[in-house]
Amino acid sequence: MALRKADQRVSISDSAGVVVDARKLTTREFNVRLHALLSQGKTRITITNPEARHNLGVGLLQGCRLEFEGSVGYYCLSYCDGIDATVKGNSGWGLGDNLMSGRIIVTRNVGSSTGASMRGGEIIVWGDAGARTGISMKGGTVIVAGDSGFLTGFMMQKGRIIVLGDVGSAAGDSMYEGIIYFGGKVKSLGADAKIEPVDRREQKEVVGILMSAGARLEDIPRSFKKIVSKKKLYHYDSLEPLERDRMVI
Amino acid sequence: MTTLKEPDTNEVLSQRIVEDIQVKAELGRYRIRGFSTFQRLVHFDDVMFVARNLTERNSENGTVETETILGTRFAERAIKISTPVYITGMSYGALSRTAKVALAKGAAKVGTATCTGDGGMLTEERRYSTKMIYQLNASRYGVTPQDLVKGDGIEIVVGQGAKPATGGLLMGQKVSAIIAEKRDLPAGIDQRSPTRHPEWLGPDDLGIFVETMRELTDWKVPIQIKIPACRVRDDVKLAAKTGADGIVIDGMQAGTGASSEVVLDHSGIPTLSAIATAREALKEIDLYKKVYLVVSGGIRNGVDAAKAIALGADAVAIGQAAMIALNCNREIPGVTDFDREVGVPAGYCTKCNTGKCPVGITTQDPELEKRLILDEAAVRVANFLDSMTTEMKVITRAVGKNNVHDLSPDDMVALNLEASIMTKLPMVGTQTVPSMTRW
Amino acid sequence: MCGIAAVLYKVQAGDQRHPVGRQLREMLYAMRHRGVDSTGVTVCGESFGTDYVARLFVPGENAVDAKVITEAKKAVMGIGGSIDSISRVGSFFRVGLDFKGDVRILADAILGVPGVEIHSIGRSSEIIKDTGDSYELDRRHDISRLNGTHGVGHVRLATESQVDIRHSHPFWAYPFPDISVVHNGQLTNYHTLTRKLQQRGYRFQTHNDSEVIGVYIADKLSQGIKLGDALEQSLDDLDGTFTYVVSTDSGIGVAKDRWSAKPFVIFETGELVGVASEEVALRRVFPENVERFEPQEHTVLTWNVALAPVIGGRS
Repeated sequence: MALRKADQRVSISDSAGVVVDARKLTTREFNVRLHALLSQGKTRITITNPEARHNLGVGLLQGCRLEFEGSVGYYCLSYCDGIDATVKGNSGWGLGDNLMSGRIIVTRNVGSSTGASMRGGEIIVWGDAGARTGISMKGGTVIVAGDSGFLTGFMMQKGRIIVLGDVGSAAGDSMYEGIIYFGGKVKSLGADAKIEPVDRREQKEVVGILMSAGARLEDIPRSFKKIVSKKKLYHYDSLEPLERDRMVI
Repeated sequence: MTTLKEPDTNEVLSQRIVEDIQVKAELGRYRIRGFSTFQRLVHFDDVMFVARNLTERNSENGTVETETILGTRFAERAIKISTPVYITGMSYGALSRTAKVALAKGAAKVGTATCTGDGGMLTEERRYSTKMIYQLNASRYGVTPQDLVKGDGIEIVVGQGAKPATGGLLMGQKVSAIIAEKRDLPAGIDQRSPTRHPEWLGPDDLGIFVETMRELTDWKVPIQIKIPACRVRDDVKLAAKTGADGIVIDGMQAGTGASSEVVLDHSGIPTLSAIATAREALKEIDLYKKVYLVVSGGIRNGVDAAKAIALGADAVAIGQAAMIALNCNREIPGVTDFDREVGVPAGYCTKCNTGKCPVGITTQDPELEKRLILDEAAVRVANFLDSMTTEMKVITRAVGKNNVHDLSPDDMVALNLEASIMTKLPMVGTQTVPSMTRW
Repeated sequence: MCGIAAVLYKVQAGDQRHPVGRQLREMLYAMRHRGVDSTGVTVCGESFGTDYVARLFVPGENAVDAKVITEAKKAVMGIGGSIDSISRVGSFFRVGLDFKGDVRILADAILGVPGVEIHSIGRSSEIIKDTGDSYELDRRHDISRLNGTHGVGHVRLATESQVDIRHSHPFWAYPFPDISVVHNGQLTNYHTLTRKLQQRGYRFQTHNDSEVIGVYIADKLSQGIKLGDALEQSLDDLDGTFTYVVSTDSGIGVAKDRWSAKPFVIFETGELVGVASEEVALRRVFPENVERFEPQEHTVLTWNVALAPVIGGRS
C-alpha cells in the first residue's frame, strides 16, 4: 500500500536530544530512565534496540518527543498523556492503551487492541492493524493506512477510527457511539452495526484529518463509507413494572 | 374443608418460582435484580470456633491486635489498615455520590480502606479516604492514568462473585446525565459493561499487563486481582503466577447492583468453600502468606470475618453489609414507604437495579438521594466497622489468641458434612476430615 | 498461559542441518514470561542411525528401578524390534531402535509396560520436554546441540503442581511418527472431539486438550488429506481459543482461531520462516529489521522443507 512509504515522510529527530539504548536496561530501568530524563527537562529522546520488548514507556504524563528505532512489544506508550512518539517498526498488543492526548505513529504493523480504551489524541498506523483495533474507545482517533482486523471498534463509545484499507469481520460490534470510516471493504458487520454513506462535508473532514496526519492526497480513498451503531441494543425490549419508570436528568 | 393452618409449599414450584414464571411469560427475557443469591448455601454459620479450655490457653493479656498489612510481595508501600476488613468496590453509578462518600468517610474514620468501582473514581472519594484501592474493570469507565496513580493499590477485576464471567449492568433509570458523562455513554441507555478487558485476554497476557500496572505506579503500590469463586484452585494459581501481590476471591454470596438472575443464582461457588481451596492452591505453589488473600461475598459481621481469616484469608471485604449499615432496607418513618415505593416491605427489597432505592443509596434520583444524610451515614458505617472489629477481638480472645491473624483452622470445626468437605475442617465429634483424593 | 514458537528452513544443502535446537531455546527464553513451569521442543529433520528414536519418560520412583526399562526393552524385542542405544538423563530415556512394523504396535508394546510414558517416537524427530525454562532444558538435555530442518517449541504456565511433565507440550500425535503439536489456548469441545476419536480406536495419554489436536490432525493426514486442508477443517471442528503449530516430517502448519484470541507473528525470508506468539521471540534470533506480520483470524498457513540440495548438488 502506498502509504507505507511514509517511512521517509516521518521526521526523524536531529541529533539534539538524548539516546537511550534499551538493550542494556531492564524494563524497570528503562522506564525509570525515561521518567528521570523527562523530569530533568530532557524531552527529546531516541530509543535504540527496543527489540520488541513489552511495557516500554508506560505512564508518561508530560510533553515529550520520543523515537523508537525498532519494534516494540505489548502495551508500549500505554497510560500516557501529551506525548509525541514514533515507532519505526512494529508494535505488539495494546499500543497507546488509554491514551489521554498526544500522537503515536507506527511505521509498520500493529498487533491487537491498538488504542484500547483511549480517551484522546491520535494513533497513526502506516501498516496493518490486528484484531480489536480501537476496542472500547472513549475518544480520540485511530488511523490505519492498511487493513484492520477482526472486531475493529468493538464496544466503541466515542471517537473515530479511519481505515484506508479493508476492515475485518464483526466490524463495529456492539458500538455505542463513535464512527469507523473505511475506504476499502468490510468483511462483515458486528452486532447492532450498520454502514452509512459519508456526505461531502464529512469526507472533507476525514481527508483533512488524514492529511494533517501526514497522508498524501493521492493516497487517500476518494470516498469513505462509515460504520455506526444501529442503536437497537440501547434498551431492553421489555421491562418489569418497576423498571418502566425511566428517570433521566 | 382443610384442617391445615398454613398451605403446604411445593419445594420445586415454590411461590417465588410461580411468580417468576408468570412475570417471564410477560417479559420474554431473563429477569434482572440486585442484591445477592436466594440460594440456600453452606456459609459461615456452618463452622464454629472451639476454645481451648483445659488444654493450652494464653495468658489473660487483654489486647488483641487487628492491624493488617497487605502487599509485601513486590510493592514498596504495602496497604496498612487498622482492621482486616475494608469496603469493597461498588460503582459510582450503581451507588449514589452520597453513598460513595459516606463509605469513604466511614472507612477513613476507622482507619481502613475503601475501593472505587466500575464507574471511575470520585474526587471526594479520594479526598476523604485514607486508603483507597483503584478498581480497574473491563469497562474502563472514567479511567485516567492521573487517577490510577492516586490509588493506594490497584485491583484488576477479572469478575465478581455475584455474576461470574459477565460484566457490569446499569439500567437506564440510573444512567443520569452526570453518570453518562462520567462513563462516556449516551444518557438513559441500559448500559452493559464488557466482560473482558480490552487489551488482555488470558493469564499469559495478564502477566504482561500486571507489569504495565507496576510500571505505571512505579512499583510502589500493591496490585491485586479479583476473581469470582468458580475454579478457584486453577484461577488462584494463575493469578499468583502473573506476579500480583494479592488475590481477592469473591464468593457466590456476593452482591451486585444489577444482574440477570440466572447468573446470580446459578453460577459460582460458596465463599466458605473458596477460602480453603484458595489457601491450598497458594500452598501448592509456595506462595501462601506471600501473596495475600482477601475474601468477600456475604461477610455479615466480625465473626464471619474471623472465620474467613482462620481459614486462610488475610482480610475480608464487605459490600452488602456496608450498604445495610448505610440504611439499605430500613424503613425510616415519615421518609420512606417501601411497600408503596418498591412493592415489598423493608427488609425484603432487592430492587437496586431500578434506581428507586427508598433510602437513597442505589439511585441517581436527587430527591431520593437526599434521604441519605452524609455525615450520619458515615458514622453508621464507621460504627459497623468498629462492631466488626470488636467482634473479631472477642472471638480471638475466646480461642486464646492475641492477634486476629493467628487464628487458624485448628481453632474451628464444621457442623455438617458439606462444610467439613468444603473447608477441610473436621466435622464436630470426629477428628478426621472426609478424605478426597483430589480437590 | 503459554507461548509457542517454530522455525523452518526452506532449503537444505545436501546433509547440512540447521541449529534449530539452539534457535528454539532462544525464542522460548524470550517468552518465558508467558510461562516458565515447563518448556518443550520438537526438533525435526534429524538424521538418526536407526529406524526410530523413542523418547520415554518414567515418572516418580519408577525411574530408579531399572527393571522398568528392562521390561520396555523386552517388550520391544518381543515384537521383533532391536534396541541399538539407550541414553538416560534422570527419568528421561532416549532409545534408538530398529523396528520394521507399524509404529502403533511399537508404541502399544512400550505403553504396555506400567510406568513408562512415551514423549515421542519418530524417524527423524524427537520431543524433549521438562520443567523449567528453555535454558534449563538445554542444561539438562543439550537441546542446543540438536540440528535439523525445522522444529517447534512451547513454554507453559501450569495450573497443576510444579513437577508435571505429562501436560507439557509438544504433544506427540500417537501413533503417528514425527507428528507433534504445540498449542496456545483452550478448546471447549474437547470431550466431543476425544469421544469421536476414541470411537475410531485412538487412545490418549493425558486429558489435555492440546494432545487431541495432534491426533485430530494426524488422523486426517493418515486419510490422505493434505496438511493445509486438515488445518482448514480444524478451524471449524475445533471450538475454543487456539493458535497451534503442527510439525510433520516435512514441514509445519499453523492455525489461528476465529476470535483472534491468541497472538501470533510471522517472520519470513526466502531462506526460512520463524513464527512465535510474540515478536520479542523473533527479534532475539533474527535481528534484521525484516517486516513481520500477524495473521488475521481464522487463518491457516503451511510451509514445507525442500530436501533437494541447492544448485550444483545431486538430486
